[in-house]
Amino acid sequence: MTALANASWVSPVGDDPRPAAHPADLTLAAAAGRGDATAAECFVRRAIPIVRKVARAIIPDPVEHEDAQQLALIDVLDAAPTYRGTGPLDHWIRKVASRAVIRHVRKLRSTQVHSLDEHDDARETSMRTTMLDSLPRSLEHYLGELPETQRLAIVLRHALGHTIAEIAELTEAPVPTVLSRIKKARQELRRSIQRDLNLGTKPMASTS
Amino acid sequence: MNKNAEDFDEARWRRLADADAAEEPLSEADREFLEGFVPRSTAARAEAQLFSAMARLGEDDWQDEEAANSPLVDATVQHVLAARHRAAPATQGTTPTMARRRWTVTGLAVAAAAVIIAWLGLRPSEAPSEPTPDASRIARADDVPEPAASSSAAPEPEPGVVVPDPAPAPAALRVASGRLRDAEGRALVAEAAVRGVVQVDSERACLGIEQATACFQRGARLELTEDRQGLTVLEGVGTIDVPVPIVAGVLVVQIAGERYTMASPVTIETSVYDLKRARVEVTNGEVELRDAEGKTHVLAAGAVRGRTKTAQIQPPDAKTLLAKARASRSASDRVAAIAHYESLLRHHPDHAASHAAMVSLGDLYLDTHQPAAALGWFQRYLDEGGGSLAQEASIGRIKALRALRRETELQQAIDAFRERYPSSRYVDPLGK
Repeated sequence: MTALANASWVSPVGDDPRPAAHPADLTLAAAAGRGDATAAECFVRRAIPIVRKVARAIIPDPVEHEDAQQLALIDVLDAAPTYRGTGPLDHWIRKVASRAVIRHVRKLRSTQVHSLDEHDDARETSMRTTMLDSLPRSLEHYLGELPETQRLAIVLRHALGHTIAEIAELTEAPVPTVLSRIKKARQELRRSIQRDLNLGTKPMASTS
Repeated sequence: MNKNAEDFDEARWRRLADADAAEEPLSEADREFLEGFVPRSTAARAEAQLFSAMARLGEDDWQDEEAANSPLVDATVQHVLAARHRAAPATQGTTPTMARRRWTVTGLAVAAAAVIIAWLGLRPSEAPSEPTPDASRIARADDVPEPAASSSAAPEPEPGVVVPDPAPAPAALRVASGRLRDAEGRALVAEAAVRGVVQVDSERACLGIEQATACFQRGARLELTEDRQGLTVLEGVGTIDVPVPIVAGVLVVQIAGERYTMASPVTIETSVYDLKRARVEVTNGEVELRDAEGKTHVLAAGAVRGRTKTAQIQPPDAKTLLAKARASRSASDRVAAIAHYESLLRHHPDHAASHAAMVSLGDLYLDTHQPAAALGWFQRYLDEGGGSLAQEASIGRIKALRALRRETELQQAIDAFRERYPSSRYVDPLGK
């Protein structure tokens, strides 16, 4: 960490007149962006939990989210020099990672390219489910019933805490469309829960 | 609370929750109600629990797995730093030796060219002239023109334009023995010019510049800079030997982020697995080293850089190699992905992922237009018992045979596939 300790405060975007609200984070990102291996490692370790959450939240398939996670980490480290320090680094990482994961999902959908060895590995894994004592089915089950666009919008909003404007940017959709997707998704989730309760599906009181 | 009041409160709670999700402003009273509301009905409790759980979606017990993250961290950092290094070698700093050079800076484009030359470590009296036709073969000391002859032909610089000091044309690193493979899968044999990333494809292969040689074992990956005089050891075990002074310039070797400038007699032995797992031992002569922080050292015979015991230099574990292969593949760096998968198979043949990696390798070789190599990996996967990827391996084999125009075997393979997997989704695209 010597390099970091000695690093002087240098804005990676010199023409931005705003003072950095997070100078320590800016120093770390700038050092990682300059190719300092120690800083890069520190930066990636900081990013891993955020990127992993993003990948797991957006992509239900455990095989695919491993791939997306790796790709998003590369993108986050690659983009480190563009962090301005005006907002929290964690939030910036989350946004870059969300963009990378969404792009990866689109690529998968369009090309149907799969990494074969990873599919083999998947034989040993299973879809993680979150069973809750008041819910008849798992969270993942309910989310899986939503149309893809609604699922993505509500996950970005509630699981990853993005603003409506950010979701619009990330999903390349107008703000009213995003609002509509979130509203419909919430309604659909309520309807599904009510349907299961009406059918007498027994709530499962365990978490796996 | 009576039923009607309960229903009313739940309706208000849902309305406010929807508004909050849509970033609509809430009054202080509404905010207080929303945050303090305790759902009573079964449906409302389930709904509240679902949205609460959604906030934790994607989180798990992995958060404490610091050690388990290491392969991922290593793979990511190495991949990005290596990519940056490849993309912008001109941004590297200069050694104190080079700092003695007098540059005149005014033109950006020429400056960039000059920095590249500086990065390559040309000596003060050298000039960045174009390689002469003679430079296309392995240069010998007596082939190299005198510096004065070269500099006399150099045009007069524009005022204020960066022009390095005059020097003879540098010789190029070429294949001296053995066989290498370039990024397009072409085999490079003796006398072939080398550039970009290459991999040793025989038991041992040597690159040469004048009398100097860089010999590496099978699987080693090396990168040659554009003008073919700078060598980066990405991975591999080998020896670099400069038996007599290099007349046409210097050989600059990058190992694990550090730069060795070789001009006078020196021999180094090196084992490199990645930026952290590298060892360099000077066995003869001395060499100038610039470390990652830009400090210069002179290493004499017996000096060891990196790990001090050979036994400590071990190949990365299977998980790390797999992570590297995936990272490279995700980033469309197929050459690196191939190298990492092959390294996985070479160092960890019994690991669970190694068997499946054969199909990935076949796939990658098909992608890089090397059907013969692809065929070998698909066949090996099938010969070693197949597995859940047998269909993919069989289809890959068919594609490789088609690319190789081995029509008889191709038809047999298609027939066999149809018979074995009649309802496979791959059957229709096969045609007759």
